[in-house]
Amino acid sequence: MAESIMKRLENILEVTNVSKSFPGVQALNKVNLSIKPGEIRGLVGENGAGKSTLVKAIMGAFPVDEGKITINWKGNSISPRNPIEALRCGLFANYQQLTIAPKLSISENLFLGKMPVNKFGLIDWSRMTKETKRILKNFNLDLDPEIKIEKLSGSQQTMIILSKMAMLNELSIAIFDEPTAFLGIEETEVLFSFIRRLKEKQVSVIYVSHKIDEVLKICDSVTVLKDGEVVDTLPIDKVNEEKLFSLMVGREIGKIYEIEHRKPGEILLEVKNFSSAGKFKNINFDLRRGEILGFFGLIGSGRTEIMRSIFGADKYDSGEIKIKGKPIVITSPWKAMKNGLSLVPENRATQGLAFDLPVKVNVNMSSYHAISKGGFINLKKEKDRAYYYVNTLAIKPPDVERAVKYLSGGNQQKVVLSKALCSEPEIIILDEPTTGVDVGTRREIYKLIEQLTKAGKGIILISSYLPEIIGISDRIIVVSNGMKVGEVKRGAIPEKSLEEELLKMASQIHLGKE
Amino acid sequence: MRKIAIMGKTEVSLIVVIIVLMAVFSGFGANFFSYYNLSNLLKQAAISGIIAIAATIVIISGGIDLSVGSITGMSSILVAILMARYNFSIWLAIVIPIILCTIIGLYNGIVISQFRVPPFIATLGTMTMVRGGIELISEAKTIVGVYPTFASFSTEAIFGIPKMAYIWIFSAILVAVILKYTIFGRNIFAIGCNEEVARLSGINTKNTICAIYALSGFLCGIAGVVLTSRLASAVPTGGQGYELSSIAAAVIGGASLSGGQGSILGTFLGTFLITLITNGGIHLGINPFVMDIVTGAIITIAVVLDQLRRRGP
Repeated sequence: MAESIMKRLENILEVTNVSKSFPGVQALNKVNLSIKPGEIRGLVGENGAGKSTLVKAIMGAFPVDEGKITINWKGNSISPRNPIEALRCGLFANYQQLTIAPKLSISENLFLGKMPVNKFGLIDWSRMTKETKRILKNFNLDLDPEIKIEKLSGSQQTMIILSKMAMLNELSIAIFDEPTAFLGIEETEVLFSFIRRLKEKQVSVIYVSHKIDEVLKICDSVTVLKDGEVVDTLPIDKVNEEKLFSLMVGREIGKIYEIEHRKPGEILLEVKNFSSAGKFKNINFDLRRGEILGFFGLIGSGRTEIMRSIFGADKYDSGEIKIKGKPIVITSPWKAMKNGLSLVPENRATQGLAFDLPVKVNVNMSSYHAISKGGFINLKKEKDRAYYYVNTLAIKPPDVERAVKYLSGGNQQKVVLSKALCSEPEIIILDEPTTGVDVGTRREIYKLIEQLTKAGKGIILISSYLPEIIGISDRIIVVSNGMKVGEVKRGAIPEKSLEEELLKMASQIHLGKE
Repeated sequence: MRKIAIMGKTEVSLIVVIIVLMAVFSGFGANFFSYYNLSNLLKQAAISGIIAIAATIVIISGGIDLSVGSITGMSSILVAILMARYNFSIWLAIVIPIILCTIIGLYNGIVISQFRVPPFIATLGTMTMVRGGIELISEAKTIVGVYPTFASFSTEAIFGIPKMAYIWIFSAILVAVILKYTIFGRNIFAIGCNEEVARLSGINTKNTICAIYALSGFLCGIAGVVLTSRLASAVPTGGQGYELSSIAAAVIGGASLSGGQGSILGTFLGTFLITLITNGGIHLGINPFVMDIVTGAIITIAVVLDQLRRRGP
């Protein structure tokens, strides 16, 4: 008895038999989990496995149906009933993106609610600026504390959240839910060293990610969730990538990047001397039928900007675009799509999906003209087309009337892909198509790309995930500081050294500038 | 989903509230269910109803149109001036103002989509300018002398239902069909949900926004014509107050000011409910100011209930 109490106190977090259901879904089923002080625990599983639900339950975002969550805070066992109580027990989660106010400056954000005052009771701005500079320096951020958050890039914003986290002096458990979704390679390193510093201070960390290589690198142990249940919890030296994949999916997944490659056909797209001031300069490349052209670069290298300009989403200054040999001027996405281009944007939440609208409307959004006469939509065809994609891409649940906001991340991504395919494009630009997507779905997306190349489409794949871009591209173009700095054909360099080679190219003129 | 379904929960609860209120009013006031009063009720609702439809389209697209009242007033005063001062034929005197109002709406759309002026500011500017224009051309005087055949339109009925109400109903059906069955309608919802998503999906968002505000202007043009017929004259303050009551009707009917949500049936019922409260209040001899308080409270309650229901799981 005494021993079991001792053992309990040893753990900073105890999740005992926790269940939670939402209408129609058993999100968590009798989950048990315990974490020791200073332990970095990975949490992996497919989309819908219950990772986010578990994290939110720990944070007190909603009451659980059954079971208990206790935090050992200063010798007391506490079960937080809401996020505020959780915060008082030293819990902090990075998923609360809302904790930064976009219209306020960096320093105002960092000191929100605890601004220093001078002897007159007025805000001491100069002290705030000085303190902010000091904190930012710890994170290798050379930014003006007066800049508004909304002016920062996604990765910089993430770093600001981290620095805000670092300011909390009473931290017991830090939760990171997909923290590197918007981070580049360098920023990820900064994040990792931050996590290691937390560990030294005996702070426990829960690290939720789809990127297994990160989990293997940073975590001490890993818990695998599947369908709301814990499959297993293992020390990190007892697992490898393949083992985790099979535990997550519940079957052997095989080599996930293995797809059939085509012999590229005629030239579909030619881009010449493409420039946009301050973004990219003198970009030249072409894309052939059946080809998968990878675009690799660090965050801020200009790869996304190049594609957005080709697609007409942003303006460009000079250059030439030819589609099937015919020069065209693209001034809007609308025109680009008329010319057979399609884009799956970087961020599905803000650029890809109308969240409140049903699956069928999102799938058809780009191509209603194809199922309309005189502006009137054929409602049956609208549904049929949506069901076609729901079935082909196995979108779950198979309900075309459901608003996409109720779908899991991977299924949302499938809806974005469906929308892009529905317009029957010849050239498909995929910008980070597997961000926040589980391994099973990733495999499906790669198989889909394989089929598209089979059908003679040209694919441009932007990715900052090296294994992915190396795994499936026929040719890789490396971009750095808005310029094309290299091009590598599949098989030209052995895979082992390719990763290093690409990184070297990508960071050659990249002097830590965003 | 419910914004596209013909009848969602908002509409059902509105119908229930309307039936209950009608029962209460007829219980207290003997004349409530008289033909005279009911047709009067429809007439009262028709004009604000048409304007509320215009407001709903704009609100679904994530915008706001504060100029609906002024545009209605402009149409109203022009009809009267073309008839009384210039003896235009009845059809020209109706069509010209409606075309002009459509152009004013189009102007709103251009300022908003091309110059990226927030809809609130753009239409606030238009509202003030158009009202100034009305005062100028009417010399701030009431215009009398519209053709009797034109004025009598508002007193006539078909199958016992005022002709005015048919215009309201037809406008509602027209717009409901546009929203549900056309590409333009789907694009309005898409833009309201997320304009950037719509643009990246290849929707010509600029043209669509122009068309949305032009359609709003067009409907206000029609409302203005009906207003002049009903008053048998036009006043320089015509249409004032509709800018807010139209938003109220749309919101009671389930439209969300953040866009992407709303239904024409809901707005139709919302307009009817607001008019019913005013009318019933008069009937029961309640101080009209008290009824204003009630209407205001209903706007808040409607949105609170909607929010509570939406919070869900």
